[in-house]
Amino acid sequence: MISEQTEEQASLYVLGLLAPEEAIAFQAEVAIDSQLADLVAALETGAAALAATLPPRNPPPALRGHIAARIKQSETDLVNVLVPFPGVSQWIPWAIAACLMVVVACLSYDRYHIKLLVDSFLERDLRLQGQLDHVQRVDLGLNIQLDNAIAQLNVDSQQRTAMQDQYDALHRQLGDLQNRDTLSRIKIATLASLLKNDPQAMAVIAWDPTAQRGILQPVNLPAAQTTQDYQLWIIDPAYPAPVSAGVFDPAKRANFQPLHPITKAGKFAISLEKKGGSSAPQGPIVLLSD
Amino acid sequence: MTESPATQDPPEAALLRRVAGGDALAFDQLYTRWSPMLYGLICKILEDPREAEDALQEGFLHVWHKAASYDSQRSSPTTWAYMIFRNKAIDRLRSRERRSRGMERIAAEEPFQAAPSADPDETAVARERRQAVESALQSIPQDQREAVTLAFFSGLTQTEIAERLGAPLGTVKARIRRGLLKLAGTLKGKL
Repeated sequence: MISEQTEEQASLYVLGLLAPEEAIAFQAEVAIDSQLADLVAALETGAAALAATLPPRNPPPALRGHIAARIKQSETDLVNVLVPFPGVSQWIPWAIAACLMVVVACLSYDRYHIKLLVDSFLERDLRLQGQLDHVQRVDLGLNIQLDNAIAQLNVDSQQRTAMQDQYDALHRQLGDLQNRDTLSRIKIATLASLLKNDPQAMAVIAWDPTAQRGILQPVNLPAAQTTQDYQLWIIDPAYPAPVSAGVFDPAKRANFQPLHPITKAGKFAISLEKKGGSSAPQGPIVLLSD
Repeated sequence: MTESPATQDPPEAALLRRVAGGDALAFDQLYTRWSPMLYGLICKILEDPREAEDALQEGFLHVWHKAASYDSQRSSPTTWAYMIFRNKAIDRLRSRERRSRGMERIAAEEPFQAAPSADPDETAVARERRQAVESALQSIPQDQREAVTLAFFSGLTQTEIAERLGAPLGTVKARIRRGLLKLAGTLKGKL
């Protein structure tokens, strides 16, 4: 439905009574509104009909020729624009045309170049897509392998834990067996006093022939003089003389190790030697094992 | 203008199409057919034979160059031509009047005068058309008829038309709107 105001605008527009800016705005509305365009067309028909009320008048006969000549002239002018003439003004259209041709050529080149680029990008995109697919397939395979490896690792870990447990159990058993073996091979020796003044003096020795070391526990052994030291000896048939196991403090338990490897500890003896000990027994034997 | 443009393709439309294709013979035929009515219109507006000749040349050059812009769905070829030549003449008139700073000529003129009824050069079709329009004009109120014809032929502005008719601007606009709508409605299907 077209309002009266729009009808008024349309009437004024048809008769050329709108201001130029109003006419342009209204023309824009007409261009997008078919109903309005129909109204304008109807109003134009009504307005143009007014001209039909006028009596016809024949124009001067020469006018037809003048119009034909002007049309021909306009056509010639149009052709002349395309024909080069000397003079700066005549070259301007050619210069513009040349510039346009250069622009068109540049644009064509750019277009061609861009097309090549687009084609190459598309081709590369396809290639990359193929590579991506391949990588994705490989990745999928690796993931599967990784999952399998993790699963296997879990199995291995469980097995390893079980084996570690077994190892620990065996180690404990071995330890027990070794302890039993150590105890079985340790030789316990009791050294009795040969001193008439101190018959209650004694010493107990635990000797491990495998480890080649032992523990000496003196009992009621009187302190030695300041210029003397008690010295322990191991009598081994393999040696012509007793093997020294070092000097010791009679008031303390002492660990000892013989000076030479002992094949068989036949007897243990303790003597009083000069301070610092001797390489071979020289002082009196005070304690002797069985 | 003899038939509705949407229902039949009149010969003038065919000629216009040929002119759009650069057919000089078709243009010559159109000139023969149109120039009397268009020259009459221009002379009515300009009242200066020499200027009317210039306007006619200008109008036909426009037809030659712009024939392709004619839309048979929107108007008849005659309506299209009338509006082109009328506007060319009004432009010239306004330009001239701006130069002379006056429109006394228009003031002394009768807004609407019926054309002479008997013209030996008038074709039967043109005569029927004129009679139909005259009849339609007589059917609308006098004030509307005056406003419409003054607006169409004089080249005056809205304000000048209102001054000339001694009526408020809004009233004049309303008269123009009603008169033009009634004229278009009355002539619908008759031209």
